[in-house]
Amino acid sequence: MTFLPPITAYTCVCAVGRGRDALRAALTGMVGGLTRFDDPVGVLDTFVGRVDGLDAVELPANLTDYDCRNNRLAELTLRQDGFEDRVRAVRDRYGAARIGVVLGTSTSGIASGEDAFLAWSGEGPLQSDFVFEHSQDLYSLSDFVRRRLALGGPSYTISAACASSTKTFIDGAQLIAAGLCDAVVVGGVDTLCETSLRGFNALQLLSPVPCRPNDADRQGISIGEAGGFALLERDEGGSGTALRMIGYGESSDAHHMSSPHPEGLGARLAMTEALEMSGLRGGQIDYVNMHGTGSHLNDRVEDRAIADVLGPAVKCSSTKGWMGHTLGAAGAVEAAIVLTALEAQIAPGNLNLKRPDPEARCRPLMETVPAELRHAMTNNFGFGGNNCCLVFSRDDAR
Amino acid sequence: MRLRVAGISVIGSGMVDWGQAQRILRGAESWDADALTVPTPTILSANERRRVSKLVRLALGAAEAACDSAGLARGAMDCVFTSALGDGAVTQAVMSALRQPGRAVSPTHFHNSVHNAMAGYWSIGSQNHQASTSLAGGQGSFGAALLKAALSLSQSGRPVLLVAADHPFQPPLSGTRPTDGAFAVGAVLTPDVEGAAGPLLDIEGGVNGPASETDTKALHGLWQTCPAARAIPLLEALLNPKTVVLEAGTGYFLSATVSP
Repeated sequence: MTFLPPITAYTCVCAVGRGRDALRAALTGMVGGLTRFDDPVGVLDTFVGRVDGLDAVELPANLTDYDCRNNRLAELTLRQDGFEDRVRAVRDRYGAARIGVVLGTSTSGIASGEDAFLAWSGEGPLQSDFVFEHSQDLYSLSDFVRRRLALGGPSYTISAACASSTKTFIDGAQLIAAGLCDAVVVGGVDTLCETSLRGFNALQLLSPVPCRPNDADRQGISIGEAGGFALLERDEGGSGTALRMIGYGESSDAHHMSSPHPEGLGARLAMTEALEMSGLRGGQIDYVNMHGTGSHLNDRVEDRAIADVLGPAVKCSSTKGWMGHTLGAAGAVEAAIVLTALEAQIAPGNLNLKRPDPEARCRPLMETVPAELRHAMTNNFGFGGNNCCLVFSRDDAR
Repeated sequence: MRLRVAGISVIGSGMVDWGQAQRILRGAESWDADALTVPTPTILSANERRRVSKLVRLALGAAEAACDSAGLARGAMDCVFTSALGDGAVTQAVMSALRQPGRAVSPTHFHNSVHNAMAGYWSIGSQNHQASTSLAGGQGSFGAALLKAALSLSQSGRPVLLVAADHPFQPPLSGTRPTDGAFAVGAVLTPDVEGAAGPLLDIEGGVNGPASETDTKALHGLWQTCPAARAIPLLEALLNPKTVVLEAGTGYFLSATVSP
């Protein structure tokens, strides 16, 4: 019997604001947060989902070694929606050693390394204030959060491109199921950096307008930054939550490093496995948050896979028009969106969708609408052909 | 969590394969820190072979050899890959490109820069469509990956291929932390069901640290500076069954008990 963990706290920070209320207001008001990227070298013509105010965020005095844009966003996110208070209460109840930290990121604090390389004379060592271990190192994120929350359970960072933080929910559930942890902090953080912006530009995937996933006129992706955390617990622990994860699926395309499988083989495998584990039929999924990056190929392949596995009538949308593609944090943000949708009984629209792709079989929602949601799915597909699908459920609905 | 080690492989500084590694661990052969033969992955197409870094070649070599030693089909296993350091060569290539006017990054370097490049190339080369995780846990990366492999296996009942690999940084990145020596280890882990082969491995979480150090004096430096080499105490336990302690992320420790 697979353990299905209650979700007793969650939060996120992205371009539409800090915390769940800001997220919900943006979703219902159909107001996005993408802004034009001001390229210091004047090459990139694109929009980004930037989180305002990170420059002013200070890490606790004992953790200033970890200072970098990514850990500042982690710090800011921990402060929202009482998340750190809930973790503290759980730590007092179970003990620090029984609480794990598994977080996702694609680039961690690499912006600090980029700054060091940009400032480098070309000879000798890099500037001495660049501490690899506490910034660029992928583990820096989980290590910072572990120390910030004074937790002593297992901790590691999953870095599987755009599926990174999606997968952390699986590890959290497994750690509790195996009896190693009583609670696990999952989610992830990714921040804007040169590597991601210039890299996606090199692949000709950056959109010159705010991204328009699933639109016939889509021109590519907009990159964003975000932090998102969720607390999975052994039981609902007096939190009164009715939210839980009820299934997951993972697969590998085994096709290409940066292009999806043309028939969406991996996407289908992940969704099918998640459905089976949930004990649901396709028709019982009330809403799907699509990976929906806005790239031509991703959106077409995902549309077909969803139509085949769940049926073309399923309510679905990509929410990347609000905050952009937040890469390794996308899974955490989109989990927060799905959980918000389940709590608020809304199905989020597909921001910036004006003219649905006539070749698509699914019909993504143009607007956010009230909806009876009991079971909702979220997809993320990453480079390396790494696919992950989660199903969340609200116990008390209907 | 109880499992079996059905296959094992090692490739790294001074060790061409598990056979040579065993002789070094038993003291039957001296260790040459400067010898490193990075394998050419036979499972990739010629085009992909040209694109992959030394780190990926080490990891794929270890993955292939572990599967061969277990005699299990490459495509049938869930996968867990870890590298604490990541791909320094690719990262440095991307960051050096940022120093040029226009800051143009190579598309191949970019898609190779993801931490799951090793896992991605392995899935392509082995036509493996199973679940695949790539993680990092500092000096506790190998322990974290072993923990994740045991979790997956105990819940899915499917065998898991575990690969840990680290390769040294080059200047100037090498000035940011010690990264001496290359090391990759592969292990095929299976549920302990009837007919399963290989030594038994019992994993228990939440034990007291510190992590076991290597008993092989010559390898102490490698154990200290190359995070994947934190697997060496477990390899020693496979030769002389005993309990070793591994760190799984900073400050959390597992015991791993090998019995024949």
